[in-house]
Amino acid sequence: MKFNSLEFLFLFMPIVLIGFRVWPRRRQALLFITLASYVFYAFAAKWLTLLMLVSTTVDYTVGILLDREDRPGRRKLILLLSLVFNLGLLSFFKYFNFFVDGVNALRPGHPVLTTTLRVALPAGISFYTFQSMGYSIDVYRRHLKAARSYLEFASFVSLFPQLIAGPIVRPSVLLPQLAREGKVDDSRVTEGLFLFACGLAKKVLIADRIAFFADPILDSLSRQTPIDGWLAMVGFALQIYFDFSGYTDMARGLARMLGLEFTINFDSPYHADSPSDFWKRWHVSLSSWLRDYLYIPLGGNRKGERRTSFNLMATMLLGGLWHGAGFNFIVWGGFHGLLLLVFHRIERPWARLPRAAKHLVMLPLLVLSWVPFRMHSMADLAAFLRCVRGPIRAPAAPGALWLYVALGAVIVALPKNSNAIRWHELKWRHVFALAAVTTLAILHLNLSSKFLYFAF
Amino acid sequence: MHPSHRQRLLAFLAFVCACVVVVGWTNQRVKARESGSEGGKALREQLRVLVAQPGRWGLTMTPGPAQERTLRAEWTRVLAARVEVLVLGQSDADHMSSTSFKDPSTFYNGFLSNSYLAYQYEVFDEITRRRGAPKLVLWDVRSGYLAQVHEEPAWEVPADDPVWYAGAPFYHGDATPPWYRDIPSLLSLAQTEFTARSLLADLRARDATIEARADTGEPFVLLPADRASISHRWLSDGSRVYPQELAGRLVPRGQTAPQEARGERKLTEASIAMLDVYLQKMLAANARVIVYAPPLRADAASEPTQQPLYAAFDRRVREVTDRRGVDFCDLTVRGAKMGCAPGDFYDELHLGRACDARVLRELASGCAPRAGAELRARVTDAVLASEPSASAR
Repeated sequence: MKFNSLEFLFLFMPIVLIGFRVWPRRRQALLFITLASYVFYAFAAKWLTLLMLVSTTVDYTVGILLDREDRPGRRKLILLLSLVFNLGLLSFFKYFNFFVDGVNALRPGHPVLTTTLRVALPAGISFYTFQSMGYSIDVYRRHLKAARSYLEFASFVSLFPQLIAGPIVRPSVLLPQLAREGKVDDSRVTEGLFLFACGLAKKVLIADRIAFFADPILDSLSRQTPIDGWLAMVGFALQIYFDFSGYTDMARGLARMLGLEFTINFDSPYHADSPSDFWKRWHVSLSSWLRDYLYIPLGGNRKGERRTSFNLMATMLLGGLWHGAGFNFIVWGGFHGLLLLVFHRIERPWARLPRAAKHLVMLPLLVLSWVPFRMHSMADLAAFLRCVRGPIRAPAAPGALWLYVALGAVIVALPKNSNAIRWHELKWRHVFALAAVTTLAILHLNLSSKFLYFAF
Repeated sequence: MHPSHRQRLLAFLAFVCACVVVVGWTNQRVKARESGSEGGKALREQLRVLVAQPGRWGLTMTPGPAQERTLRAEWTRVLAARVEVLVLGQSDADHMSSTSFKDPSTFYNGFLSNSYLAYQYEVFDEITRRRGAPKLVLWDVRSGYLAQVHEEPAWEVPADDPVWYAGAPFYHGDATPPWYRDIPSLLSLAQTEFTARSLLADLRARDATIEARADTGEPFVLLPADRASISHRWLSDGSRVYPQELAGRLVPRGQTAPQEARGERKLTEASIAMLDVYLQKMLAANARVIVYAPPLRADAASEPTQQPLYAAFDRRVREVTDRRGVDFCDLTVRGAKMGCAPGDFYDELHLGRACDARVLRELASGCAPRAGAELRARVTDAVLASEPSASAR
């Protein structure tokens, strides 16, 4: 079930929101929301819902054991159990096909691994394994007390607003909120609904519209002019932002309607004036997760210049691989790692440049970074490079693409983003404008597609 | 709670729900009216005029299944004579013309642009129910269509059911959840546009006389067939002429490179299975069938990335037709050999009357060993003697 579907908007969401509010006690409400989340997940993952249940049970037990155990060796062993389980699960479901294909590609025509098994990727597995793995690590580090209630922990892992595509909410942020008694303030419901509506409009009216016109160009690059190739890639840069930040707004809005607050995941990323600034604004919940659970444990910037460079590159490559089992994602991660390294070296002179100059450099680099992300294979990547190096001809892209790209660019350039808007203080005219846009989005729903990050 | 929070929330919900309800309710009303006995009256009247005066009129159209399916349903009611040769297929079958047949009055072109096998079969079924089964069916199933990733609708709801007006009741690419089958299309942009168009047409005062109509690009307007138009038009035999086309001479739409025949495409097995099912139904109704794939323009036919698709298409469709004892004539890459020059095409997929005459010649001259003789007896001598176009020679 997608957030941008009629069954979600007119059946699932109202039932869950009303059901959540009518239960008099928090515990009952939590049970209801957990069951609802499993139903929601079952629409996407069917029997693989059981996998989430197993993962939840393993990490809940690991948390309890870690809390009880004081001997460092034993604690390490218990943590290792959690890491092996979670990473094993992720590796099998996400990278098995990639591994088999990769090995077999070494000797074309003579497959080394002759398995016929193809593993389907369960929706949201990358998100919920990182979330529950983060919990085990936090409990191990004694940054967090283990959850005593299985129900609270199960609802933390399965909470439907963030289950399929994040944000990856830290246990220290979400678990206390889930344990808190008390009714949801009605102003939060209003804010949440408006934020959700904003996300829906971003996804349906901008991201999907851009994709509608840009995808045919990016899927037939051998016949496109360089200007059209670049225009479509700028379109993709805007599409992925509006798609994913739209999803995040919807997730955060839903959480707010349930009286919860999720971490901010996007903060005007295209306003970034350096690569490190970009990663403080783009998919913040993932980049901060990688920083805290990978980059810093590897030594961060504490072990000299060469080790810092290695740590940065390793983190970005693994971050790329987290997005998908494909060489293009490794290239994407590597490109960002390289940008971080280069900008780390020129930090001081870069800081002295005027802000506009920084943007003039950053924006093209960011668009360029999306090339390997969008191109599904190395052959497609080569086709894009051939296209943009081709002779300059008059562009043939539809006018609507220019229009949607311009609209997206104007919205991206606005100084305020959806996090900064005080949704509960909207003026009447803004309320009705938002309602009109929401209606338009609902009437476009049958043209809407899945969220890009559902694939990860 | 601050009262304004509740006011804002309620106002927002009321506005959205009211708009959605109003759009949905209006859609339902318009659909019910259009599908009822009062609905489509003007269209039926125009179809009667079109069919009664062959060659005189062209009825303007907006390509797409939203209007065409219901139009075909109306059309089968007003056909002048028994249909003996029926052409089915998508828009690339649209130029198969009655002028290629010895008795033009027994020919009907039932193509549906950009539509489904189910709806193509439905045209056959409606004709069979009303006037008996056609003797010979020429069914155009090009490779690209069978490589589309889409869900074929189950053919079970009659064509005059309101649910079909302005779009099929399912999402593109996703199965519709069973508990509210027609809601997605009810709240679709196509439905809203359809409703807005219908309401606007109601508001506008229309001149009742056919001759007084201007060529504005508006659909369902009868225009003289012997003049070029800015619109696509249906002719009385069910075939189509393109904008600016006159007396069979196409004005190609200026497409320089193939658009559809690109990228990696694979056959949709579900569509192959549906083809098999509908072939069985046609044979059970005692119709003879020739399945054919029309030629593509040379650049699309020779596109290297598409060769695996063309080969797979030929193999899989031939398996089905051989199993059913039906002819299959795959002309996908044979356009140049048949004498169809790029100028005979409107674009990479759509061939004009001259090239379609050569398709008939191929079907009647050995390419279809089972039913070809019957076709040969019906086509004109000019078709059998058709030469390559000047530019192809």
